[in-house]
Amino acid sequence: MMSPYEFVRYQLELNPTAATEALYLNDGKTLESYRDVTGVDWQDQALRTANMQNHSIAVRGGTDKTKYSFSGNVMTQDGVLLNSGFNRYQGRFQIDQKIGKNFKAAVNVNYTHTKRFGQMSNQTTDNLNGASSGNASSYIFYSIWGYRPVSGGDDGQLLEDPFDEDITSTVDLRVNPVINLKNAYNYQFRNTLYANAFLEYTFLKDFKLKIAGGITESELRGERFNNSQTAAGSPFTTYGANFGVNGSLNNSFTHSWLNENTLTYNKVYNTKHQVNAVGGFTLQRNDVQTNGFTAILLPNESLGIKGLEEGTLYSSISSGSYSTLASFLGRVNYTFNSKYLFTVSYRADGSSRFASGNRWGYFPSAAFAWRLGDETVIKNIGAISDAKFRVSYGITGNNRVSDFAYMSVLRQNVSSNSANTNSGYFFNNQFVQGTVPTEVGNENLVWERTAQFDLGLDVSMFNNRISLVADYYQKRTNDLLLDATLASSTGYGSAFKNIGTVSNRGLEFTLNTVNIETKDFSWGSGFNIAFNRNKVEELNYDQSSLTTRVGSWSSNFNASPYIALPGRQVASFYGYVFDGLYQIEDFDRLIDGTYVLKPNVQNNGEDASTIRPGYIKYKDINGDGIINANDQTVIGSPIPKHIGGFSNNLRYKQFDVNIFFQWSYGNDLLNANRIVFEGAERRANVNMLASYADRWTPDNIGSLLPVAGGYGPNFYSNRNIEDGSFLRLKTVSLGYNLPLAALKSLKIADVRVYASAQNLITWTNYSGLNPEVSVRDSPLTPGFDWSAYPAARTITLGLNVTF
Amino acid sequence: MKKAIIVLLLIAIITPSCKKFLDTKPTDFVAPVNYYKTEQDLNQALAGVYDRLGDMRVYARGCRISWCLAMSFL
Repeated sequence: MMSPYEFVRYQLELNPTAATEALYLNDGKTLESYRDVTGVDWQDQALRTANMQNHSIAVRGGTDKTKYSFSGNVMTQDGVLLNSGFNRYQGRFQIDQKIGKNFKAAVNVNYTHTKRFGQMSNQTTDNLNGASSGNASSYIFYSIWGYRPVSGGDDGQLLEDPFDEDITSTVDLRVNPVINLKNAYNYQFRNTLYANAFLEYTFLKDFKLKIAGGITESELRGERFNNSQTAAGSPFTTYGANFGVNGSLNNSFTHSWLNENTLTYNKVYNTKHQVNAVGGFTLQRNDVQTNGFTAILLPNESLGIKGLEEGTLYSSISSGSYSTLASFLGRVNYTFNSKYLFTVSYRADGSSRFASGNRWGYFPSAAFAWRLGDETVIKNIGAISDAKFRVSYGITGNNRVSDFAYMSVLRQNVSSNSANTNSGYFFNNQFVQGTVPTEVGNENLVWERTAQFDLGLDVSMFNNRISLVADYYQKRTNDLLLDATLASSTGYGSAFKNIGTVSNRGLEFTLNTVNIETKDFSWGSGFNIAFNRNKVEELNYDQSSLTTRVGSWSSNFNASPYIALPGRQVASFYGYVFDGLYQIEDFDRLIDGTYVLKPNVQNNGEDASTIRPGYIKYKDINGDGIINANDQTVIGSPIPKHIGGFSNNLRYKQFDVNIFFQWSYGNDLLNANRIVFEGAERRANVNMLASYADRWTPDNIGSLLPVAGGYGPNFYSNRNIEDGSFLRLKTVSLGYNLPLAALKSLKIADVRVYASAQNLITWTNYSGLNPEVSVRDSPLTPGFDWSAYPAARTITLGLNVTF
Repeated sequence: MKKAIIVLLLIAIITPSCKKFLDTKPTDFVAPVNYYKTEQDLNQALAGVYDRLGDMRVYARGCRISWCLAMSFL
């Protein structure tokens, strides 16, 4: 961020008024007085070096007939944002038992308790329920970066006050990030019990009947309490002034069960023909129930979340839904001479999430593999130790839509207008509840189907010192299911649609080599690279393109920065083309000193009379003399050309080292942090990124950053598209195994001490905190960066003991 | 083999009940097919349409939030 000196210089340029001068240049101070002021480094105050601990224990044992294992794990991790973190406690138990000659049974139980707490960087600070409101200033990183480093008065006061007294709290939701983070009470507790069991019965020698059942019980409790020091509960904010200290409690219960019944036939004829056939059916059901309430104007702040019942009920929720899935499946494997492998399978899935005529989807597949390595021709080539050729084709389905997406929804008691009153109207002075359609159903929804063809070759050479896996695939997805945003004129935000056909094709290579192998020293490396190209083949509903907005980050930027065009990839960045800044020679200077744009100079989408030197210029793509939505074009690709990893394992006597690199090449990112903090935010007293110190001024006309207040219209443009390619040293670990001789007397089988580090070094041109960012991650909106949680550099020290 | 046939028979019995298993009904909202049947339904639907007239951006412009809240509790 900018230093106090640069910050004050920017404020004086942005608002050259007496008020600004009174604020920062009081008591005879000048701009130069700020030269040596350190100010408050809010990022340094709000982020921290955090601790993490991880402990595990596992016991295994048993007899011929009974085998058991149980394990426990405790993990506590503090977040790098103040007062945030994640804890997990896990227990697991498994038992296998043979009963008589023909029966076998097993039970597996897993219980997990997690606690996540603190202000989420992707959620707003101000809202009663923590939901997003579309005001950029309500995100925590806006406060961390935008909160001013100096106030012109007592900077100690700036640290102590929960709110900045010089900002308009009704529109600017900036809060003291340190006080807000410290007071944030935002907990998510989750308990998950997962249990499954099976009984297997072997009969007539070759047949096996297996009946398996499993349940998952999940309980999620969200607690949020906004005390008087937080953005949503303080009397200084709009929310806090109206609703006082407030809080909410939300519960969500998920219950699901699964029953699988399969009959397997396994037989070898004449030692050469091996047949394995499976047939069966499965049933599953998933229930969700949600309830909770929000209470406002709590009289006793000290009681916290436990005193919620003393307040006034603001809103309550009680809802539930369920879905079912039934499947029939069959598969035949045939192997000839252990050399030729054939597989044919077929499944029929019925999902309750589609309207009654569209419920069933049918998915066949077939595969063939040839173990070339067993052929004598190949065996005679000394260099090749093994080889396998694979080819497969299959169709898979996807039903990821909401449970009743095919039905329209009518609701009552909808909070309808800005006063948060219930929907309805007074007939004869009598209030009548209003019924409002809230979601639009789509009866035509069908299963999304993906047909995939795969060609593969596995080769290992020189006694398996080098092994190579190569794959080529082609995928075609028909009736892609998406919760697509709808035009605001429909009255609905979004609806599930089968939006069209998308294809993917790609190449993947994995190369593993053993470079050196001696008694004391060894070095092995692994390299993998993947190329994928995707393409929109066709869009349904006769659409020529599909543009997508990025929801709820800033209502000032309502345009769609993403587009899917037939013949191009699924997501491309879409916006205006930056054409430099207006320079002084583009203007006529009037006698009173104001600048007026020359009549022959193109405006930037805003009225020419508002444009001043140093304002942003956009290209008139279609040459019609007007800058409007028709001048938008594809301005970048969020999809990488290739991604990959490179790992090295070195061992010298008792020491071992692992070094792992990861990269992504050719993808762009949309850095919305730079939109806001390089001039688009024109409110007073907001700090900007350090790079913005080099903005356009009459003395710095070479700059490409707009003059203070000169952002112009709120467009997405290629100014904010950045190359997101990176190479990251992801993991380095160093281990030491204690010599066996020393351990024998202690009856310990193995002791290993290790240290490892994650995200040590990243080489990238990206200016944001982390190039692996995507805060609204979906196939249509990848690579968007706004108030993202930073990736932490993690150093781990560990000890493994095996008895 | 006999036992295999029994299993296949079981599948044959289960198949028709699948239709019922998949025929789920929404539990937390009313769908338009089940609505607009009584006079009260229609009155409420109309009130839902008129609701926008009381919006802050229409005729309720200028009414203070606390006062509007009080109105809804009348």
